[in-house]
Amino acid sequence: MVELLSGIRQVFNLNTILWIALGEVLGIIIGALPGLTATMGIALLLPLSFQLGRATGMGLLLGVYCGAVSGASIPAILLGIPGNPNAIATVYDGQAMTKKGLAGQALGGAVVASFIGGILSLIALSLFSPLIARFTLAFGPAEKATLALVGLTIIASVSAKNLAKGILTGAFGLALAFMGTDPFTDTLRVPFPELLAKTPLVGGIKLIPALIGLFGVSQVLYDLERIQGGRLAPPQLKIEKVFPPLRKIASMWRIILESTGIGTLIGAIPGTGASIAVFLSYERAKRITASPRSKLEKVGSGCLEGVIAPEVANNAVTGGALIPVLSLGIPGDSGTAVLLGALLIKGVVPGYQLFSQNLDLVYAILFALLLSNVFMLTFQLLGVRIFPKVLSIPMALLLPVILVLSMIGAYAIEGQAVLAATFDMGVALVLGIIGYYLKKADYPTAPIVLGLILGGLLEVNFRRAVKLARGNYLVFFTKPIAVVFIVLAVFSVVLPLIQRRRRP
Amino acid sequence: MIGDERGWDPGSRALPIATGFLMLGLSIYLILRETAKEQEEQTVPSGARKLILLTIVLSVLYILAFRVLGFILSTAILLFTLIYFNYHENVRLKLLPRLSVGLISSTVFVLLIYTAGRFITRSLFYLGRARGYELFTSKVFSAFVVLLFAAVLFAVLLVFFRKTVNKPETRSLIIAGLMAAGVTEGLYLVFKQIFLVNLARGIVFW
Repeated sequence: MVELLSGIRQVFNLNTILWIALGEVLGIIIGALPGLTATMGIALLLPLSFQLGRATGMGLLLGVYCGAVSGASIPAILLGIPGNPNAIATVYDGQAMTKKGLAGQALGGAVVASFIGGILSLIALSLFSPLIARFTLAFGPAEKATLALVGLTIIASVSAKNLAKGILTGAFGLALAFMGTDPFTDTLRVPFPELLAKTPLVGGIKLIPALIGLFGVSQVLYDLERIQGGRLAPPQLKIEKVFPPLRKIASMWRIILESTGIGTLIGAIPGTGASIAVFLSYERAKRITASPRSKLEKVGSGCLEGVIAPEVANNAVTGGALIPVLSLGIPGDSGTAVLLGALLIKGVVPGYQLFSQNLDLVYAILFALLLSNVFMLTFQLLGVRIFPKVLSIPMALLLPVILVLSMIGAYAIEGQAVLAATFDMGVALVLGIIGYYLKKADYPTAPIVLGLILGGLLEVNFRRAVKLARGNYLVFFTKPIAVVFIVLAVFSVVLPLIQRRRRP
Repeated sequence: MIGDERGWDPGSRALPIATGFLMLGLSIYLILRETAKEQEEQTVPSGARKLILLTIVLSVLYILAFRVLGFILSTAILLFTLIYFNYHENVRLKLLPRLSVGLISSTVFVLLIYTAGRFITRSLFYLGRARGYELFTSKVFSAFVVLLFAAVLFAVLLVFFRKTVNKPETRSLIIAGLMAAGVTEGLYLVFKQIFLVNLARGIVFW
């Protein structure tokens, strides 16, 4: 009870409310701008959240996360271009509705759907994450090491079309995580020690500059390729009658519930992310409405049902993806990977410890997510005629600003030590350039982040488990939970290979 | 390392070396696979390629010059140059004369705004101390006042230039200059004034 009240107090104060509101507005703008992703938005605001209190900082980032996921539907509906992959399935019916002159209904429907998905998945998050976290109490070093391995292999196999590329980038992330000092002996462990020992890199690669580089700087370089061709045409539409009829939404209860289930479940599986969930829920809604008994309009014909299904699912992913973050410390997608980074930097360890020692923070995170969803609904409905105007912001202006924001964001982490902070800018730039070339060569960047985040957990627990077993490397096969994780890890690597063999 | 073997520790090198071998094996596999099949070349327009190169080179120079020139000057120069070339969607030599004029004017402009901001902040602080207005000594309040001042100034300048300047080349210069100055001052207020990040002062010592 004390923790609940403390959680409420940490969120419902003017300072935090204002930061969440700011995060929400920035998130909607970032989401609405094609090319800018939710992950990039969170990574860019990470340094700012670092300067705020724990709950306020997390509130700001959750606001950006929620806003960016729902804001992506604006260009998807009005221009037929998704703001980011979250709205990739909203394009079909959303754009068709705009062509029918129903843009207002589509935008309003998308917002209401995002709100419903967000709130329902928040309920799932509050119900399931404590249960799973309690389960982690049984985890020793062997279980923790194999859990980190599962997180890595799943994201490596899901995020890439080519399994080898996914594993390679995951291993690259691990290699970056191992740089610095040995966690047990504190001995120096860097390449070119004569050179690097004299620099701040001796402490290893810091997470925030790396995240900013991989998601901020690399995105700027990637979007520069598309700068030619000018700005997007701002839609000249009359947006009328925004709020969809409640009776119509109520009649879609089955689509809403199934999309929430799909979104939450897919979100909770590490590495999967919203782009899979939105397609699955869209296809499911198509089947439901295609049934002869269904009184709903057929999905695909430019109807509200086709907007509601993916929009419920993509915001349901936000709550779902936070379940493994809070309970296991394994992120559901790249956006929550950055959120996990924010938690770790604040010294918060997810899992049972979080729920037993920092329960107030868990409540604060849940309330902040609730408030983010309420703000998302309010701001998007009120600003339904204003937010589309951000589409006319030229990329020529925006990209240099994002670049500088990335640089200063990386710098701000070591805010007082100028030399170390300048090195962090270098880390962000170098990883940004690497990230850009990887993206161009079709290598996924999400496994690098997972490798960076989970590298420490994997190494410390792997070594501890072997030490405790007196040097017996087979210890991982003697613990039932660890065996389950190993089977899962092998399964996640083998399954895509089998699927590829089956395909003609 | 000494002590690694004691207590059956797999050692400091175990996982890094294992990861290294994994990366090596996968890289060889991917290299062989990629060379075996025809790779379709992704073409990047030459203008965009030059812009990407310029962005990387200027970012390196920015980091190198950051401590010498200071945050205000280096950020304003980087922003102005990038926005200017991005607007023209290419890096051409004939754009250089205008760029130098714009760079000088925008640098002077950003220094003026920065100086005015510092003056306002210090005056508020002095008034707060001398007269006992506690609000005036708040860093957030003074940052807000400077932000308000800058916003009004920018709005007036934008309206003025919109009415008086018709040439698109001059307009792009002015937009780049205003944007560079505005973003630089905004970042300074948020990171330095509110969150006390030690942004290097460099030659802008005041």
